[in-house]
Amino acid sequence: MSHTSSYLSRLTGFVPSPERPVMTEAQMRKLSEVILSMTTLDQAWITIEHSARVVTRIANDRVLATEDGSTIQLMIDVTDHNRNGVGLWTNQVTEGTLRALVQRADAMARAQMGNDEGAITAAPTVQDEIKPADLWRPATITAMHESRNTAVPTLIHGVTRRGLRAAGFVGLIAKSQSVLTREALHGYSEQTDCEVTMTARSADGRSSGWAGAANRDWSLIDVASIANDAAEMCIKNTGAVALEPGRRTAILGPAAVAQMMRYLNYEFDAEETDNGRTAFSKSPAGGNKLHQRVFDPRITMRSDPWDPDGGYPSSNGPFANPGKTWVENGVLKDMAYGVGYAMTKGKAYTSRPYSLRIEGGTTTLEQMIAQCKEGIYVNRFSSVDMIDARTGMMTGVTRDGCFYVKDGKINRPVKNFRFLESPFFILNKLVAIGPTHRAAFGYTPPGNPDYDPLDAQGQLPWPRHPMIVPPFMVEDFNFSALADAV
Amino acid sequence: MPDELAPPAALEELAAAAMDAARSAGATYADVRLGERQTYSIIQTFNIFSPGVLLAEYFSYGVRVLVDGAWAFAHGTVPSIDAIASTAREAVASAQGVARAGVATKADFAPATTVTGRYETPIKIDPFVVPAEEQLALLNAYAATLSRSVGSFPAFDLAIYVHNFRWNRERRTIATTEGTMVTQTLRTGSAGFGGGGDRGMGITSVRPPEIIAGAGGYEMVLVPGISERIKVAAEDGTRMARLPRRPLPVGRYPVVFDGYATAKVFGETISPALELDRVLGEEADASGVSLFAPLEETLGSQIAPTFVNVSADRPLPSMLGAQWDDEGVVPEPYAVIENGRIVDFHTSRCTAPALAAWYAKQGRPLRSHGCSVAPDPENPVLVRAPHVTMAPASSTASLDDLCKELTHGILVREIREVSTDQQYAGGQFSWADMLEIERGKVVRRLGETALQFSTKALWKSLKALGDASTIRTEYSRLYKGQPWFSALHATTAPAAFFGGINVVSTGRAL
Repeated sequence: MSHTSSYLSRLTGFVPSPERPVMTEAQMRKLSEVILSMTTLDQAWITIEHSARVVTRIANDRVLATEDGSTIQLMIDVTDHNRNGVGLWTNQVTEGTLRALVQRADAMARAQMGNDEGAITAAPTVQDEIKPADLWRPATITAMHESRNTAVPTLIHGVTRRGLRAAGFVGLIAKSQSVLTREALHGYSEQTDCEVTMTARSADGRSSGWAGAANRDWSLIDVASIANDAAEMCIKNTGAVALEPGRRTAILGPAAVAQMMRYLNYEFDAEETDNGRTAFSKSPAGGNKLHQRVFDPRITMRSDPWDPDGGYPSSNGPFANPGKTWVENGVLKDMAYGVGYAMTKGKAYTSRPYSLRIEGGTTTLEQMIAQCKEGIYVNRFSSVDMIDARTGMMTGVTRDGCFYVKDGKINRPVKNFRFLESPFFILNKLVAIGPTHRAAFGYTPPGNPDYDPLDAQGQLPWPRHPMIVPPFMVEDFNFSALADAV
Repeated sequence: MPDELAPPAALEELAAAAMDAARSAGATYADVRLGERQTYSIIQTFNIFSPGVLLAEYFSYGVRVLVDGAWAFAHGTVPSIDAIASTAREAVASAQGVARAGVATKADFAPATTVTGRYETPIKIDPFVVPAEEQLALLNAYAATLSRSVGSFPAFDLAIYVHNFRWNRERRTIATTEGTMVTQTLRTGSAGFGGGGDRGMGITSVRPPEIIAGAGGYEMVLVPGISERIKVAAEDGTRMARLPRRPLPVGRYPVVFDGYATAKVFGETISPALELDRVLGEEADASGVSLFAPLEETLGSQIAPTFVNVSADRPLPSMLGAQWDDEGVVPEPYAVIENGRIVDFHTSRCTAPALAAWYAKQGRPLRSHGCSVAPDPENPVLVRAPHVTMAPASSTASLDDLCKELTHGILVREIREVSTDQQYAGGQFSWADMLEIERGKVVRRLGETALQFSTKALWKSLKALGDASTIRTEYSRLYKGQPWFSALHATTAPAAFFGGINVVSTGRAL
């Protein structure tokens, strides 16, 4: 499935196989050490990302396209005596290319002006004993070669047999990442992941339903249920009528919650907060709300590399990225300190919480609907954008399932709404909180690059970090306008 | 700076090997994109961990095959005949699997003239051989002009400013089993200054529009007048930032867009909604279906006043210019909106057949307009809007003339981000320079205010367009596909006067 250069094979012993499509830690370390030996500069670090993925796209009841392949990405940063650095990115792993590029980068780094005010590798950082999170599932690797011919027909027929149009996505990925610095700071992670989503639409395009699942382990994804749930949602959504926008009780499904709460990663940034740029800032002039109650006292937010429902690499670059409790019983307990700010403040580095578990209740979606006198059930959103980080205000549009709830029952489907809301209001007017699950994102490209971690090529890589969230029942959710989109 | 790009002959040899392998393995049709992309960025930033110089060098390829009605795509990065041939065979095997499973797509495919040839963007000075220190000195000189012009106005936080030159050169070979074999070397560059600051006073950035963004070489940053343009933009931004600021009461107001704002809103609503793959439902589980679906109800329909005319093209040389698209088709200029009616869509070879009956009725040949784009060769091709241009008013109508029509309304001068929806059927923006106008004069800045619109209602409420003096070009990066990829979009448009847009408040105290 993937190919590798003969130089890479000779150097590291890596030969792609169905069982191991990406490099191991030892192979990545060997390659990093060889590249480090090519640069003569005092400060250098080598980042390697290697991924292999198998993707199937479905549209109009057929396979629209398949996409198979592997990608390797080398990022080499060199700095000479704290001057401005030179970054070098390539996907070409041949001795000649690498040596020539590194030599050129060295020469440019030596000619640099300015002062980098202390390169990262000079920082007195703490590299904790990192226990690598176990994010690799052999069942996913096996399925990379079998899923297309079994899962895809199941997905399509599960929708078309109900007289609906099927569109969907099946993606499986294996990925390994490594960092090695001149000072021998080292980090490594490997992971598998998969996501399946399905959109069922009526032939006239007036009704749409969506369902999805994401998991590290392919064997835990129930493809037939996803197709069935999407079809059911579409059928229930038939005949949607326009309802007056305004502030209403909202029942937000897990996918809708994940699409909003993913932006919290930025809000937890200590430097942005202390400079007055987040909703955790004390005021626009700065300060923070650490140890103050910020959310409903039932709410707890954690990140854990070993989270059984998702997890994430326990190191970010060469730095330990251990689990954290960000909010406990509604009180802000901790913030994320980037490397530079951690040095300034004497704190340990922590990545922003791109992966987050939000907990606080056990009320199921069905129970929320049953206890709702009047409100709107939202399956998910589209195009959620943060518009003001200082209040967390966001806008977006409901998509693929929006219903009027009356006297404890789904009363009728309604046309989509645009919303204008903030997690900082939502999490202070909660009626009920459900059990947590890892939510599938489906198509969720970045809104503003400040709030999403783009890769070296300026893209937000799929898959996103796991968001493990409950459904919420919220009072006075601001459905600000009707939306024409279906 | 990186080495020279790989010679065209070497790329073409690899492309031929991929096509031979695909054909031998049983593909009824195949195409390949392969090539090398190099970027050279000079970045002046006060973010201490960003490198001052960034070099990137990538080589990749993607092989697309059609077997028994099934499409498949495989990609790789190892530049050898064995590797690319093996990738082609894997794509064929994937397609055969899909065909066997009985879930292959319907494979209509518009005819295209077989082409061969090479093209290279003409440049005067190769930025890849201008030393980084020389470029940094010029960048700092422009940045100093910006700092001097802003002065000590307290709202601006120069510490988060980023200034940069970015240079790209890419050589890409596109080949098909029909016999097309072309290699184009495109060179583009951009220079950006500014950033933003918000110290509780609302957005008060001085962000001169990109002083260059186009096809060419280092000569683009040496043209006279750049310092003056930075100075004018900085002084103007400072003047506007000093205006008193308030949220506008919720309601419906007449609004004037400058050319940048018109281009941004058109370029992020109507233009991508005219991408035919969206209209045909191919993005239904991803970025969404178009508000212009179904096709048969939309073709010929009136979506704007009769004075609106919009054309599309990928002219050379320009930021989106190409001699051939990523299916090897020569892009052609075409009208998408004539006298306010939709007359055409952005198409590829895979999507154009849906318009066969429409073209036949008009006596036009069925062909792709050349809108297939793979941002990198390893990405699948998707339909992307080319450079779209709205014609200005033929009679005199400056921006001031349009504002004079406002007794009480809003002037939108630049929009950083438009939030749309899954069909581009509506949108909202708040991150923009919005000014309150009374009796034709700017009186305040607007804060905590967003404009919300339905796309169809917005363009139907258009009262007038500005003249040629108001024309501006705006660029957007729009995402599409699954997994998603962004591609650059460009729109040129005049200022515009809209009868009424809804104002909503975004401000709430925590």
